[in-house]
Amino acid sequence: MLMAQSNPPFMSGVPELLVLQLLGRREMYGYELVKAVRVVTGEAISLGEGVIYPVLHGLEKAGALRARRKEVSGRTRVYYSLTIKGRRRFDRLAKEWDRVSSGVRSALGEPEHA
Amino acid sequence: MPEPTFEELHRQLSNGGVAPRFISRTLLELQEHYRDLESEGLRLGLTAAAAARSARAQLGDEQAIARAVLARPELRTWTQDWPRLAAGLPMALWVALLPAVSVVYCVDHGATIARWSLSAGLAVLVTAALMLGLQSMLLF
Repeated sequence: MLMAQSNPPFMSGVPELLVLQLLGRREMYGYELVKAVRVVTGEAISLGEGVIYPVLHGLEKAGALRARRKEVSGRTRVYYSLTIKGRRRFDRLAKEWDRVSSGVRSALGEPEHA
Repeated sequence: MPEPTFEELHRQLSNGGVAPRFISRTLLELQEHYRDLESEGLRLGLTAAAAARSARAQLGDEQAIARAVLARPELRTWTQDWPRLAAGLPMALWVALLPAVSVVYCVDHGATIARWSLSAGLAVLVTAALMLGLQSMLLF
């Protein structure tokens, strides 16, 4: 019998999963990213906007993201893009998310036991 | 309303041992994010004061941001993770550098060292000659 897999990145990994997913489409800076999260989740997930930066910096430190500064109209933007390592991390997290969410769906769909 | 300076956040992150590059990046990005939010508020027709209040509220309070940063040990400076190594490393470097410093000093000041050695040698010879002279006068 297979041992049950643990799921540490379950809820705490949601912002990370969304960030990796969105940055896989195109490079973005923090403000853009927060707006994109709001749009793609239909505002179901709203982050305190400032807390996106520790998530981005942690992923950058782990090699999942690459950051570059760009001057745009006198403003300094830090753009983030996904690395190959980040793509692999996203695939792994997405699989984990699918596994957990299908487990929860299955549990919610089950009839109640007496 | 003046722009936030995030001084309290800066202090908390520094005290928490966050690496300086991540502190400066966080502050820069928060400042820019605040400006974007404020501009958005103004575009939506808010007054300057209301736009500033809204921008601050959306960004979240500094305590929450500080907690989120400090919860990530990977953003801390290595001296926080290896305090003993950080304390011992400067001493080890000094010990390793001492022989190198003396060699470099000798190479750089070769002429001076030669002059001093010559002088010391001459002084020894003169003293020895005087002692011998004195001894021979006493004996003969």
